[in-house]
Amino acid sequence: MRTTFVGRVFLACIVLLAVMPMAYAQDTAAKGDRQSAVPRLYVATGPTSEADLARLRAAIGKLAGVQKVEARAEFGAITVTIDGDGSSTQSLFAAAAKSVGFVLRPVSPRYYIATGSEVESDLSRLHMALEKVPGVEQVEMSGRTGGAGVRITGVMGYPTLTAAGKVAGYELRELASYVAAGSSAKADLDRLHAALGKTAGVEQVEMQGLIGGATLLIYGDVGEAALAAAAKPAGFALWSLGSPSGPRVFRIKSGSGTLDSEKLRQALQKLEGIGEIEIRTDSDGPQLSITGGSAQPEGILAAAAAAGFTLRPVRTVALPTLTPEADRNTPPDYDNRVLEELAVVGMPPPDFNLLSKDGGTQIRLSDYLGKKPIVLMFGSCT
Amino acid sequence: MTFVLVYIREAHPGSIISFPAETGGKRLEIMAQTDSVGDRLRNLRQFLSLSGLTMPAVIDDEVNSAKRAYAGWPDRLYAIGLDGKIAFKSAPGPIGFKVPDLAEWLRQNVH
Repeated sequence: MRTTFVGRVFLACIVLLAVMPMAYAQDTAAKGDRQSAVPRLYVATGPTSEADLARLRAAIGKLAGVQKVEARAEFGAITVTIDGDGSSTQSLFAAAAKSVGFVLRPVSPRYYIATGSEVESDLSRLHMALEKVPGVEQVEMSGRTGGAGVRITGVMGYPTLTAAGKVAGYELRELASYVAAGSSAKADLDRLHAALGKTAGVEQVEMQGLIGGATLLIYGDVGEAALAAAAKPAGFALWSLGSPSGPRVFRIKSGSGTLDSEKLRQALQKLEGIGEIEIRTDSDGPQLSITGGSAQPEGILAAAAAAGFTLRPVRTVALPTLTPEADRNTPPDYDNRVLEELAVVGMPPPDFNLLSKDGGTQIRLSDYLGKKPIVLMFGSCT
Repeated sequence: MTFVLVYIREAHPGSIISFPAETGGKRLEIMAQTDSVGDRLRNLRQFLSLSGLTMPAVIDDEVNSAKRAYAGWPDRLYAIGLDGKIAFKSAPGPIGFKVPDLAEWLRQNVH
């Protein structure tokens, strides 16, 4: 349990720090939480007549485990809500929709910062106001200094939401996090920052430098495509954290001793809409990454399994990693490179005298030395 | 064997973390960077409650002395032997944060 949590957080960091192909939250593959993993709300594109929508409802309703399907054309979009026990997955819903002429995709939650009162009654008024916005499916909030963090799932417009927030006395700003891969040179990152800042709809850009790129927190009403287009001339590839357009990463376990990567590659290439396949081995073992393409993760897992390979998606924390306060962050490589030689194997450890978790006593490392072996674990929640 | 957790500045401030709510269900919390003792202590306690860890834990000071002295950011493992010298040092985290390597070292060197 302990290592699971810590491992999960660190796994997210591995992906971020190496600016390796970004895994997106790959919940559907997790055994045991299939139901919660399949999103309930989808948007569809296709014909909007009531007869067509009825066909869509019927097609999805036939799938195993589906208890209720609603499909409505409103607010300029077709929204589909599906309740079920999780035995049919997202790709089956999409396939069923496709068979009757619809393209179905899940709706991801969107994140907002609400600035205003921290008083609970005001926050609950905001909660109620947001829930009433047409198209809003679910609102989750958590109090924070100067207002609240808000997560909203639904198909709704930015102006409608901000207007609803304003009526409740809050300024609402959407935020989303992205990864940019390219250079870690300050001049290049500055150019990226400037290019993104000029993109229509962007209100504010915050950036944290990483080896080979940056993570970005972007406020405003702007989509991934516009940001990626702005990043490209600055020399960066940009994708949304949690977006299927970013690369997906899997750890590979093969049935036999040695990995026949060519066999896996061939099996995957038969999949419709597969993107660019890369198989390589790092210190944690063989790894598959797939960039671009429209193949759904469960399809990738199934195709690999049929060829005798077990893939384990590299999971990131399901919620996006956001990086405000960029000026307070130093790129990790720089920080550690400079400081690497201070604590050296074979030498006495640097002493410290730090406040204990009780908030009242100090712990001095040198008081403990020589009594028992000591393990020091450095880290934080994030 | 004494385990000590040294809680240092956040690696990814602004991350949204889901904590169990007192009322059941979950509570989303945006983790801010910690530059004061109070903030750091609060985040440490949240971390301990979430992870269930009960080992001795300290917070790094406001000028991040321990983080700097040990190059401990974003996360890192050390073992100090009975001779009072550093005996094991992981590579910088998160890539180098390999608990199995430390476990192996402990198995071989601590009896």
